[in-house]
Amino acid sequence: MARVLTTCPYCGVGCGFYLEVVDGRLVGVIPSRSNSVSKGRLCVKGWHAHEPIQHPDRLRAPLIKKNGKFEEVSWDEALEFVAGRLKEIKTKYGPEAFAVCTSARCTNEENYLMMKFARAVLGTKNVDHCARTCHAATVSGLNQSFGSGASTNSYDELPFMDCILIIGSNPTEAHPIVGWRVRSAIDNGAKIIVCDPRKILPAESADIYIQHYPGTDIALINAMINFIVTQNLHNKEFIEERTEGFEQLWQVVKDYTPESVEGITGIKSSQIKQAAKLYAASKRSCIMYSLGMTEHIVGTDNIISMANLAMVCGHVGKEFSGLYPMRGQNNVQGACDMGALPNVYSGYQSVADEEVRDKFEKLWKVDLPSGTGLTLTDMMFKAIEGALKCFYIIGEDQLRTDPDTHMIERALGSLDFLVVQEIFLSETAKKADVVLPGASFAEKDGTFTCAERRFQRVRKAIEPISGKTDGDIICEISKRLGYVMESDPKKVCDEMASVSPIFAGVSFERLEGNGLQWPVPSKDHPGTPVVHLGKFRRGAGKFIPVKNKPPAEVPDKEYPFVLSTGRLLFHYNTGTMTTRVANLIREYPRNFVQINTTDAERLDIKRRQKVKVKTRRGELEVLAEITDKIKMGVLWMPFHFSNEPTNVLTNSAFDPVCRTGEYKVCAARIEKVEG
Amino acid sequence: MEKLFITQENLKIFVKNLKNDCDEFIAPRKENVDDIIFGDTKDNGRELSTYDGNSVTSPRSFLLPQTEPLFEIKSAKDCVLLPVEDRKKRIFYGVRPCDIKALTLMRKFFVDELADLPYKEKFENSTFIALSCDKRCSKECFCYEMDSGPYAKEGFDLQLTKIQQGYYVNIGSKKGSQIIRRQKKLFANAAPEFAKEIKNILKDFTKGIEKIDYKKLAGIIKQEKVKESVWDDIGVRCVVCSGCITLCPTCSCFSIADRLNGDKGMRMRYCDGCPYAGFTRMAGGSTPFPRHRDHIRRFFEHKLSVDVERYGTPSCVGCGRCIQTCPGNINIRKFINSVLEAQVL
Repeated sequence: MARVLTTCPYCGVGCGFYLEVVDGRLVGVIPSRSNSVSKGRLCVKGWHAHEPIQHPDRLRAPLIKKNGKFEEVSWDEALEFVAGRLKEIKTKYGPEAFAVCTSARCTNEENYLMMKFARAVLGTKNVDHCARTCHAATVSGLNQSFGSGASTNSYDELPFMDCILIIGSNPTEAHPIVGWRVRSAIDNGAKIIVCDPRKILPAESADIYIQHYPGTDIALINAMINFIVTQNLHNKEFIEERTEGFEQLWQVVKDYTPESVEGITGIKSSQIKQAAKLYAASKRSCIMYSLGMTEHIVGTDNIISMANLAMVCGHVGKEFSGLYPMRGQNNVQGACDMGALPNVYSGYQSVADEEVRDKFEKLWKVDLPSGTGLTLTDMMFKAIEGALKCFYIIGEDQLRTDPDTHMIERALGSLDFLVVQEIFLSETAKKADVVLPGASFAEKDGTFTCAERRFQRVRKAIEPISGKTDGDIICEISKRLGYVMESDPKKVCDEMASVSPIFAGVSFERLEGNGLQWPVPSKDHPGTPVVHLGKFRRGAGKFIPVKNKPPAEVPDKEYPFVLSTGRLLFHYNTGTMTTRVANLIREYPRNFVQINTTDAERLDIKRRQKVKVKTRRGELEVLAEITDKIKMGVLWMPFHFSNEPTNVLTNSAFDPVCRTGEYKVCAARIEKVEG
Repeated sequence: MEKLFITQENLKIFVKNLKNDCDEFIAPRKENVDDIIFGDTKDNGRELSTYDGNSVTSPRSFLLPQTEPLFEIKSAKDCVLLPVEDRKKRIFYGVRPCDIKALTLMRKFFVDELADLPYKEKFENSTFIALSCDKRCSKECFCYEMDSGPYAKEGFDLQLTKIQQGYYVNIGSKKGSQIIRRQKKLFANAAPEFAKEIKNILKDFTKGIEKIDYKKLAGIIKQEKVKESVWDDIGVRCVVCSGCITLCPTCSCFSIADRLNGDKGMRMRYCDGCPYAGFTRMAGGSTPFPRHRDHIRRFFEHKLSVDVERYGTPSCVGCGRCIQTCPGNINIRKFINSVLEAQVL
């Protein structure tokens, strides 16, 4: 019997538990009380994290598609074949015909290797990952306002807040162990403001619940700022000492009186004023947000508007304050940190900076491409246009996670060569020419970085089921392309730290115990629980005026509803893992659509009746769930069910800065299915 | 009952000898930082002979693991099955009295009533050496109030109590006296003043705390006199993590699943229970209790009312594990108080 301490593979909270192994079989999970993130608690997904790992459906051998059918082949044959095809494509079309999609599910070390593989071995600028579909707006928004695109504060401050403004985030379901801290804050007497089109669980205990229309967040927040300033509740000292551009902000925000946004948001001005006053006047106030803010065509502006609100009140840059972007995947923070983005190397070092490039060229002993590469969003368009010929995707299921599935299908169908590294045969993997069986979190050593910027160890509990970890696979292909990379995770971590100033102090040895929160600029630096203390990373915090802009698609006569999407407590993303856990699939076995009781009555839709949800991009038959917890005129669907894929409906319109799709709003119609 | 004494040094020898006589020596082990969790120490000497606090998991995690193979399916088509047997001889060392009481209740359910063979086999091949508590193991523990600590009354083979000069030893079963007989030289008769020392420890432990009137409590719950607002509050807090039912030393519910790879596979049982809506949902989607608060309510009713009627004692042993692991800050101790203080008349 072995017991291996590791980090949860699901959401971005980063809980710690032990995996129990008996005779090579994963039999259970034991929460770690000493883990500073989870303190002995787990959510239902974490409690069952062992269950899908050794599922019979796991991919065990590489697959090559021959005459339209997958055939199991040896590792040697698969790796030779992939390396051969990559060489051909590079010779024929040049390195810019490649696009590499790394994985927020993989370790930091694997993301670093994959980023290195893309840039140093394939020679392409085009490397990105699924942060594009979630928190790219956080990185681009907070970077402009504060100079660092991650959470400003730490989880453990939450229970001691006086006021928590939760907007576009459902901590109970999507980040349950942060949800626990929100619960503790409520129990400690904190005031809660929830802004969400659905009356989520924290709203039940909230002091103010604002049920605004999806896609009207800037109007709401600008109106709050407007009221705060006109009521003289703003923090003049903070604005004077720590920020710049307040005048420019005011020139725009002065027109956003609470009364003026009533129509847009569907919220009475009195409620907006109440919320503004509570947030501004509380001593310890913070904002918690998630994809409800980022997945809009105005995602970056949404984030900037919250940064503005926090700075106007001086609720940032100190303990017990700040912005908490709740990251959705176990290592989406880390994948960003490792430079799996088209514009930066590890540690957010710009690809446009000659000195930086020079440093990486010297370390890797190759010439590196210059300039910014394509984002995941643009990769799809470029594939359809024909400029991209080959995708190399690790652990991501774009055919189920990206908006407008039919468009993604066209994009993947346009490629000459598609390689997918996966643990289950996902829908995207089914489209691949070669599927390389990767390894789950339980089969590898490395690190994940959670939403509070904490590096934590991931430890191998069982041998890789396919025989190789994702890092091994990348290194073997690299070797066959004539470039040898170190694959030992510990050494990869050391290399990454040596070349990334904000992670310079990170090493496996130092992560024993409870990990480290970056920035960790040196080997003796204790880590940074609160960022921007005394001074923002960029110097002065920058007020950037932003204006409300309607979503790309608004309801009309033909499509009278707003459709929004999100996560359930019991499932995770495309459900490849959670639908293979008995208790989880039993709770929610099928997709459904939530509709308001009054809307349902008007349309004569009954509980659990089959309905058709239609948008301009597609249609889907699902069961109706009737509830008074959702705003009238709004529909909501989860996106976890591969056989009833919600993203055939969503809109691929995207934010012009961060290129994140607008999952949270599109126009839709709902009708009964007879019989 | 014979009263014996063993020194710290002799205890070490005793443990060493016991290890030769078992397949697994399950004892409290220190894991990351200050995590204490029961684990096999037969070959590694990592056991803590005495310790503060309690293990994250109870012996239940060995006798009724979170997932457990029941039999191997050689061929589903031809119905060829191969039993999975676990005849390992286990010695559990350092088990807290609350967990010992839990074992006696689980024995009633899995062994005495309708015999559950996989549990029975493991239970009967196990020896339990209890270690009584000289102080509360956590701020959440309330064993004395629930009549399950700080000393075990029954259900152990041996019970050790830490005193200044070493350990006071109670023998609780035939198995226990046989073990002692084999290593008699290590033990001495307990001096009368040791009993006095123990009395003082108990006095300190119980200072200012009163036992819960669990019969009264059971009655209030049974007669549905618990305030609606109490259940509502629990309903809002419970986020169906399943931590309480997984860590509780007396939760016995499980479900069955076949894990087939083609024609071959394994029949597994796994921890399941009341917080899940799916646990009681029937075909067609109807459920006897549609509201979530009435799902988790069963956890409280079963432990504090149903089992009092069935066994004469509550099956909440006051170990505090459900409190420590709950992301909704549900606190069964506070629940008990609020029921006793503010019942609906």
